[in-house]
Formats: sequence, C-alpha cells, structure tokens
Amino acid sequence: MSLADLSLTDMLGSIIGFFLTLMVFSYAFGDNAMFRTAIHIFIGVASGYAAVVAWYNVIWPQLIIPMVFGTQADRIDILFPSVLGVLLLFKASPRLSPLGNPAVAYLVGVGAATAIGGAILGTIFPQSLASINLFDQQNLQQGGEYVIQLAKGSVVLIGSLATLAYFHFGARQYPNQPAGRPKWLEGLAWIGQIFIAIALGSLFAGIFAATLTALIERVDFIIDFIFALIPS
Amino acid sequence: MKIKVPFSAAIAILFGLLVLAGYFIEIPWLSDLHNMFLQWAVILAAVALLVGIANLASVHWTKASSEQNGSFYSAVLIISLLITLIVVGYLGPTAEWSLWIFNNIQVPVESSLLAILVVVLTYAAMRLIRRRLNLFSIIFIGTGLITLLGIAPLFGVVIPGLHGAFGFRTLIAQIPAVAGARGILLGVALGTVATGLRILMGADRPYRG
Amino acid sequence: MDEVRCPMCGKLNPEELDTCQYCQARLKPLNISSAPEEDAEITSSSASFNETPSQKKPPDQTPALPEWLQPDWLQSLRQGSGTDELGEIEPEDQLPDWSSQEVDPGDQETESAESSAPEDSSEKPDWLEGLRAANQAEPETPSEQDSESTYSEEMPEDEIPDWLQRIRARQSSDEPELPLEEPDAESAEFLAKLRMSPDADETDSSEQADAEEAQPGPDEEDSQVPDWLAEYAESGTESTPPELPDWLKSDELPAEPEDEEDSLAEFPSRMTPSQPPFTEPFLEEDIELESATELPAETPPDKPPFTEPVDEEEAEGEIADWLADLEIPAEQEEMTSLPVEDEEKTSFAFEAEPAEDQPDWLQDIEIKDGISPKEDEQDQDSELEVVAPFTLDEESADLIQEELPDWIKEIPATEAQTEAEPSEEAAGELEPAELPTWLESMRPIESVAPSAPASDELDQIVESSGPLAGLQGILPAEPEIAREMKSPVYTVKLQVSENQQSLASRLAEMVKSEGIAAPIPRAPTISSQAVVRITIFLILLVSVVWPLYTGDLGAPAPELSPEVLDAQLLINALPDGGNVLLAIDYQPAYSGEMNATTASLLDHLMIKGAYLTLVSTSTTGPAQAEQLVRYVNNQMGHQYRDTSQYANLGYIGGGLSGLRSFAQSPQQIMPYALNASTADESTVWIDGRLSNIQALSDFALTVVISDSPETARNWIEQVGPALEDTPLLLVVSAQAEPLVRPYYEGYPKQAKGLVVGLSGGVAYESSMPRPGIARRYWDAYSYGIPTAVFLILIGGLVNIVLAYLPTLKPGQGRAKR
Repeated sequence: MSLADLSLTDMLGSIIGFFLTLMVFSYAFGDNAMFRTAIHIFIGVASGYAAVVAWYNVIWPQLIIPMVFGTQADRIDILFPSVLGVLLLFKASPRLSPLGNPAVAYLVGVGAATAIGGAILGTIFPQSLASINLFDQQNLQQGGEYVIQLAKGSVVLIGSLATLAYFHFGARQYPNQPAGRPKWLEGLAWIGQIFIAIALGSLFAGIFAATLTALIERVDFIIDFIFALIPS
Repeated sequence: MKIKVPFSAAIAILFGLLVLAGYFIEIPWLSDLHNMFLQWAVILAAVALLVGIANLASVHWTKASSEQNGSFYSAVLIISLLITLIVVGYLGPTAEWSLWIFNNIQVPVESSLLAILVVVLTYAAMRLIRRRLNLFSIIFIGTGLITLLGIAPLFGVVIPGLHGAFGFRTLIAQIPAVAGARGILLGVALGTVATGLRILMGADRPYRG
Repeated sequence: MDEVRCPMCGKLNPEELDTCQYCQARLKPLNISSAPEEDAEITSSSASFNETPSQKKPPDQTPALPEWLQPDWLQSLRQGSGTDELGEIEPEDQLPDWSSQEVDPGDQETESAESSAPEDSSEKPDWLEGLRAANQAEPETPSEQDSESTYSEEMPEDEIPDWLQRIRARQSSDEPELPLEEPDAESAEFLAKLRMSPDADETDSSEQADAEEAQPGPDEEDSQVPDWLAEYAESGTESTPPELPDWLKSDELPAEPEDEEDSLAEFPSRMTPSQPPFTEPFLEEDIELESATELPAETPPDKPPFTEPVDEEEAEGEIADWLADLEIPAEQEEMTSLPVEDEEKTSFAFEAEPAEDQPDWLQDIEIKDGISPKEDEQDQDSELEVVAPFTLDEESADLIQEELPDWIKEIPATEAQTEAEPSEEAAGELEPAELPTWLESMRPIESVAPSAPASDELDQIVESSGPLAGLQGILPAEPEIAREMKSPVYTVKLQVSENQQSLASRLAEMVKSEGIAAPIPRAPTISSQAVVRITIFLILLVSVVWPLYTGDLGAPAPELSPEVLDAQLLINALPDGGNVLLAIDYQPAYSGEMNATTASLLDHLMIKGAYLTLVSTSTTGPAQAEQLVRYVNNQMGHQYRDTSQYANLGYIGGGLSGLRSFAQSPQQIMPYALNASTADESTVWIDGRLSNIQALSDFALTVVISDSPETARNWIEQVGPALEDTPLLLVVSAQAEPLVRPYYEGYPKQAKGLVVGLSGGVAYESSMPRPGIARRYWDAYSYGIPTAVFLILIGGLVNIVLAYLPTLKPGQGRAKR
C-alpha cells in the first residue's frame, strides 16, 4: 500500500501520526521540545474528546433532555441532581469551592457504597469460595490428577493465606519486647512474600510484553509509512 | 456562604447507606432508590469531569496568556483542545473527523508513549539486579524473566518444558502467581470494604475543602 | 628642721603647722573657755604643744589632745597627778611667763567665741570641757598637750616654772570664768599686736577650727580652763602684761631641746589612726562655732589650722628657755621637726591679729603659705614662729624617751623632712596620707587589700529640712523602700563583643545559605545513562524491525491454552445473531496489542453474526470501539457499519456507579446509539436489535476487553452478579493476566474464558481459518522478547561485576552501589 492509495485525509493523518510518533520516540535521547509539544497536543485532544463524550453520553441525554423536553415527573426526578450539579460547578472557583462539597459528598458516599457492595459480592465471596472449592470432591479428578489437583489447590490456598498474612499489620504488645506480630504469623508472612514476588514478577513480564507489543505496532506503522512513501 | 461539614457528611452517609442496602436487600422501593441514586451519581460524575476539564483549560489559558516559561506548550494545548471541542462536539464522537483526530493524533502519541516504556523497563530491570540483590528481588526478576521467555519462542525456537500449555511458564502462571494474585485481590477487596465503611460512618471525610 | 607627729595619721608635719598637712587633723589642740583671755591662753599654749622649742608660736595656740589620742604614758602620768582630762595643764609654773601674761586679743576673741558656743556636752571636745571645769572648780591642767603639766606635779616645786605656778594659784582662787566679750586692756593690746599681721585672724580662726577638729574626745565639761590660761585671762584684765621672755623678744624661736621634740613626737606616732577621723564634721563644727561666736570676717572657715608657714630659723630662735631646757635627743628632734622649707614654714597660730596690735615677736613670725590666702601678704607678713608652749623637763623627757618604742627612735629625721610639703591648695583639700616606709611595707597587696568603702549615696544626701538641715550623711527618716527613686533605666542595647559579633554573623550566613538552593551541577549533554538507554532502544528496535521487515520468520504459534479454548467454545456456542455485549475498556496506548488480540475473536463473533453492543467506561471507548470495528472490517472483510450490526452505546460515566447502574437498568443509562445515522436508529432499545433486552442477563455473551486488571475487576464485581447465566469472557492485556486469572481459575468461574495478550490472540487466531494481524506481530514478538531478556541478563551481570569489582582488588573498600 502506498500513500497514493490513501485518501488525502488518511495520508495527512498518516503523516501527522508518523511525525508524532517520531516526536515521542525522541524522548529516548532525552527530554526535548518536540516531545513536549507532542504531549501537549495529545492532552488537548484527549481532554476535548472526553468533554464531548461526557456531554454526548451523559449530560445531554440524562440531564438536559429531561429538564427541557421531559415531563413534569421527569423534571422532578432530575431536580436534585440538577441542584447538585450546579453546586458542583462552584468547585471551579477557589473562593466558592465549599459550595460544591455536598455534591462531592454525594459522589463519595455513593461510590463508597458501590465499592463495598462490589468488593463483597464480586471478589471476597467468590474468591474465597473459589479457594475452598479447590478441595471440592466433585472438582477433583480421580487418579493421578486428583493428587495434582489437590496439591495445586493446597498451594493456592496456602499461597492465598500467606499473602493475606503478609498484609496483616496488626501487632501485639509483648512484655519486655517490642510490639510485633506473632512468630507463626511472621513465618506465614514470609511465605506470602514469596508468592507476592512471583505474582509481581508475572505482572512485570506482562507489562513488558504489552509495551513491547506497542513498540512492535509503532515500528510496524513506521515501516508501513516509509514503505508507503516509496512509490511502488 | 459557608456550608458546614456535618451537612455534607450527612448527605454522604445517608445516600451511601441506601445504596449499600440496595446491594443486599431485595425490596422494590429500595431497589428503585438504589437505581435512582446511582443514576444521579452518573450525572454528577459527568459534571465533575466537565469541571475538571474546564479547570485544566483555565490553568493553561492563564499560563498561555502570560509570558512565563512553557507558555508555548500551553497555547498548543489550548488550540488542540478548542479544535477537538469544535470538531468532535459538532460532528459527534464517532464522526469521521472525530475518529480521524482520534486515530491520527491520540492513538499514535499514546502508543508511542507506551512503546518508549519498554526501554525504561529494560533499563530498570538491569539496575534492579545491582541495586537490591536479595531473595525476593531474585524471585521477582527470575519469575519475570522466566515468564517472558515462556511467552513466546526464543528467536522462533520453542523450548520444551518452558513453552506450551504445561510448560514451566504456565505452571508458574497458574499456581503461585494465582495464589499471590488471589491474596492480593482479597486484600484489596478487604481494604476497599474498610475504607468504604469508614466513609459511610463519617470517620473519613475526603469531600472537605 | 623640727617636726611634729600628727596625732591622727601619725605622719610628721612641720612644727609650725597647726593642722596636719595630710589629714588636716589638729596638731595643736584648741582650748575653748568662757574667758576669752583664758581661751586665748589655752589655745595659744595648746597650739605650741607640738612645736619645737626653737619655733616661735603663740603660747596660747596649742590645742589639747583628746584622751584617746593621748599615749599611755601620758594618761598614766595624768592619772597619777589626779587629772584625766584632756588638755589639762597641771603645773602652771612650767608655763612660761609670757603665756600667762600675754594674751592674743585675737585668740581671746576666738576663745570667747568658742566659749560662747552652745555648751552642748555632746559637741564640745573633752579637753574643752576639762578646761572649763578646771576654770570653774579646781585648778586643773588646761591642756592635754602639755605633758609637762602632768609631770609638773611630780616635779619639785622649785623646778616648776613660774608660769605654771601662777596658773595653779589662779585656779585655786576659784576665779570665775572670764567673759569673752571683756578683753583685758593689756591682753587686748597683746592681741592687737598679734592682729597686726593681716592673716592673723584667719589663722586664728582656722587654728581654732582645727583644734576643734583634732580633738573629738569624749564629752566633758568645756569650762576647764587651765590655770595658766586663766592666769593669762586675769592678767589680761587686772595684772600688768607679763614680762616677755627672751625668746619672744627675739625674732627667732628658741631652740628646743631635742629630747622634748622626741617626746612630743611620740603622741602622733602612737595615737595616729590610719586615716584622719572626724575631718569633715570637725570642719563643719568649726564653721558653726565660728559662725556662732562671731568670728572675724577675715577668718576663712575652711582653712585648716596649723598650716601657717613659719620661718624655721626664726621659730627656732624664739623658743622659750623652758623649752630649751628640755633635752630632746637629736633623733627625736629630727623626727619631730616639721618639714619646713626655707621659704615655707607652718605655724600653729590660730588667728593673726592685725599687725599694729601684735607684739614684735609675733609680727616677726612669717606667715607662710597654707594659711595665708594672699601670697603678697604672706610675703610681707612676719613669720609666726611656732613655739611649743610647754616644754618637758629633763625628767619628763627621759621618761618619754624611755617609753618610746625602738622603732620610733629608728625613724630617721630625713624621712620626716622628705614628706609631702604643704601647699596653699592642699591646705584646703585632703591630701593622701603618706605612709612611712615601714608602714608602707606592711600595706596589703592591692588585689587583696580591702577597697575603700564605696561612698554611700546616703553620704551625698544633704538634709534639707528639720533640725539636721544642712548636714550630710544623715540617716534618712524614711526607709529606703519608701523613698521615691527613679526606676533604673536599663539599656536595651545588647552588649556584644567583637568575637560574639563575628560568630553571630557567621551563623546568620549559615542560616541564610540554607534557604538558597545549591546550584545543581549541569548534567552532561549525553550521560552514561542516556547512552545505555539509546543502546537498549536501538537493539530492541533492530530485533523488532528485522522480523517485521522480512515478514514471516516462521515462529511457531503458541499452543491453544485452556482459557483460550474456553473462549472459543463460548463463541461457538453463541446462537446466530445473538446479542453480545462488548465492553471496550482499553486505552488507545494499548490499541496495538488489544487490536491484535481482539481482532480474531471479534472476527469470530462477526462470523457468528452476533449483534454487537459496544459500551465503554472510558471516554475514549466509543472511539476505540468504532476504530476496532472498522479495523476488523478492513482486515477481515466484514461489513459491520450501522446499528443493524452493532450499536455503539458510548460512554458509561460514573465508574463503578455507572457500571452498577448499567447493570441494573442499561436502557436508562445508555438510551442512544452513537453510531446511529438517524435519530430513529439511535433508539435501539425500543425498535432496534436491543428491544428484547431488558437486563444484561438477556445478552448471550459478555466480552470484556480491557487493558487493566482494575477495569476487568470492576466489570466482574459490578456487572458479573447481574449477568447471572450469561457467560463472561475476558480479553485482557498481558499485563492484566496475573490479577485476572484468579477469576478464571476459581470454581465457580467468574470468567468463563480468558484471552491474554498477543500470545492468546495468536493462539486464538491460529485456530481460526483466517490469519490476522497478531500473527504478523508474533515473529517480531518472538525476537524482541528474548532480546530484551538477554539485555536484562547481560546488563545486570555487568552491573554486578562493576559494583563488586573494586572489592575483588586487595586493599580497596567496599564498592559503592
């Protein structure tokens, strides 16, 4: 594919994309003006796009339309968030910022409740059940794999408990000794550290892989662009 | 007008408890309240997003108007913001030009930023071995290297025992990594519950100021 | 030259002086009585007590010593003679004839003035009291200085001088006190002659004041006028003028025996205190007395007595014969001789009478400086020769000589002569006392010597009211705390030494430099860290570019993992045209990976004809979703372009709250489709492909495409419970796999399928009949990953070697990390 096969907009876009990519890649040689310019362009574009999307998907259909074009019931339903929304606008002014506290408090309260509900119902219960169900007889296969499954389940269970023990920071006061965790808890926490290190190592590998993939994609784009410049 | 903190705390606690109750209590009117309150939160979150972007524009506008160092970059930001607002706002988020701006400006820049991160990660991994050489750092870097080596063939060569569905890399990912991740997830969930309960009890009030 | 030892300070003074030139103490005591003649006799005789025999001096000018000044031998003598009063002269026959006859009018007036002073026993010296008492009652010795009177009682009668005898006789006759204001004609003539010298009055008054000052003795009757002085007073009114002794006729004072001089010198040496006491009060007293007794106007009240210069030669020539009889050793004579220079001589004269009234012998007495306020007059005046009125006989002299301590005998006369010279100015001021060498050696070191007491501020206060008005040093009636005092003003200026200032300035500089940021050293243009990063970038770039450029290098695709297989099975199980909820929640940065990972799955869904409902909790989600659909369309040849194939519902705001709300009521949260070309098409929930969807559980499949584990967890937590039996498929980035896999590995599985990263996409793609973009990236991926791993390993080893290499060399410390 060559640039000639592309439309003008696509070609222009490719050119812009190419130079922006190089401008960002120049950061490998150190901070410079091209990199900063590319970053500020990106921030402006991203902010503008986010503002438009929020307007298009939330403000307009859920606030403006019911308030302007909706029924009386719709207006009553939307009255409270409208008031809070107006109060939230005062957050832009440092002097009038305290007026937006009730709206922020509403968001914080509802968000906290949502987080609690989701953590309990979506993680704590299912994950705890998943650790227990590893020893479910119906899940364990017969034969050699039974032992493997059992061992696998045991390691996962111990690892999970050990990891949880590592995040236990409660201490008990002992006579003539500094406050600290019990010995058995210290040992379990030490084991948990190993599992955490393994998990984080895997996480690091995944991040590295993702970034390498991004590099490959960008390099592929550059190659395609360069090859597109070459008349076929 | 100065609004007292207890009024805001009362709002947070009241609506928060009602929403939390809707998670566990199956009552029609409570579910309706639950849904209504959540919808209100969505609206307010969008308003908060607009307020944040307006503040960003205001700061950079002031900086671009003055003759301080970096005013050029602020001007570039304001210009790109205005163009995007005009184009995307008029045409729509999924219009051609909106997608053109998205595909040719935002995606290349973000992708390039992520791509340049591989160099930083490689350099950091090299220094990690020298800076902190203990058991856990060895386990960490060793797991990472093994996982990386097991993700893809080494220069097109598959190593038995390392690669594959039952290779060492898969074994690490399925057993110890899962165990550690599960512990982390449970810990994060428990911390989320504790923090949320403190807010609903009024012990923490991050909405002051 | 003959010298007299001061009774107060013990220093030697010229004999002619009436007051000590160091402490201004009276050398010749004053004798005050009611009879001016007697007083004149007393004063003149007392004034001549300390005088050398060779010195001429008025016979009635010798003041009596107080009892405390009297040496022990004198007191014992007096006790033996039955007299213990100061200034009492017992044997009047030892007094020369002139002393009993010749009365200085000036002295008479002075004595009358003194006698007319309030007879307060607390203020009158003891000698004066004694004199008055003796005058009134018994014939008592008038002068304490006249040791001869003490001795005279022990002397045989034939050896008692005539004058003393006359005095005694007079005293026994109980003569009344002579009025002061009735001077005798003869005595008046004598006094008038004495007044011939212009300074005689001043001299007399000053001497009188000194006599008062030098004699602070205990309170005694002041009316004890010695007989010999009383005799003079009587003779001044009744008797004829006594016959002048030979020594008075001549200009020169008669020579005094040396023994007598030595004995006379004993008094000051023994009884001299360290400092002249009662100097000021006595001066004041003298002033008061003088003012009360109407002293002559010419009399300067502040003039110390005994300071009139007297010609030594003349004084020596006029010493009475009775004084010449005294055998005073030469040493004592030198000691007692006053340091009189040729031009200056001290005189013990009290008041100088006018020149026309003074006798010749008195006129010849040169009045030297110290007394005379006028030098011209001083030069013109005849010297007042100091003559000791009382002379010691040989026996008394021997007694005195025997009782003199040896150290007094050893004092050379030259020391006394070389002592401070009197001066006219010094007469009015207190000169520092000159200590003899032997006393000087005993003087303590200044560092340990007790310092002179600080002048009390009380001494500076002059009483302004009350009976004590004008007096100084009076104790205040009010306590000090009640007195109004100005509060002290404390200076606020900080007294800082130079060293402290330098230290303070140094500290200030240190503190100031703390606020100043140290200049950061300019980093080099290309640092070693930048070189390493560039190298890494170039190496990775080459490892990636080569496979991409060359094309398919044949890197084997990964095996189909269970999670990918489950995902494939889920999609296979979809009914045709089923509604699939697709959550596009990854950032544009991960678009390369996620597009490669999702493309095959999306192609599979499109092949199945599933209706795709695209939502996103990210603001870039709607655009990302559109871009993904168009990408797959372009890559795979599908035609998903309008709301009939897919609905892009857009952005779900509110984060967790929006997800929860969307899960509860998706129609209310996402009522419109963004990809609708018309308004009617936008209402997909009403008359579109989503009209039969009431809840999320109505969807056939939910696919969550996310780049972060948090987003995936949110979907699982908030939406998962609402999905019920609707399977949830996770397509995540490689970085999210560790934290998302537990949702897949558990039982029951929260995520039914899992496609992780490029490897998962390649694996899924490899199961599809059509190749995708993932396979293109796989070769570069397979070369880039091991290259990066080898870079990490090699770089780490190099760093370790560089870090611990110094420790491998002997003699060097631990390597710096």
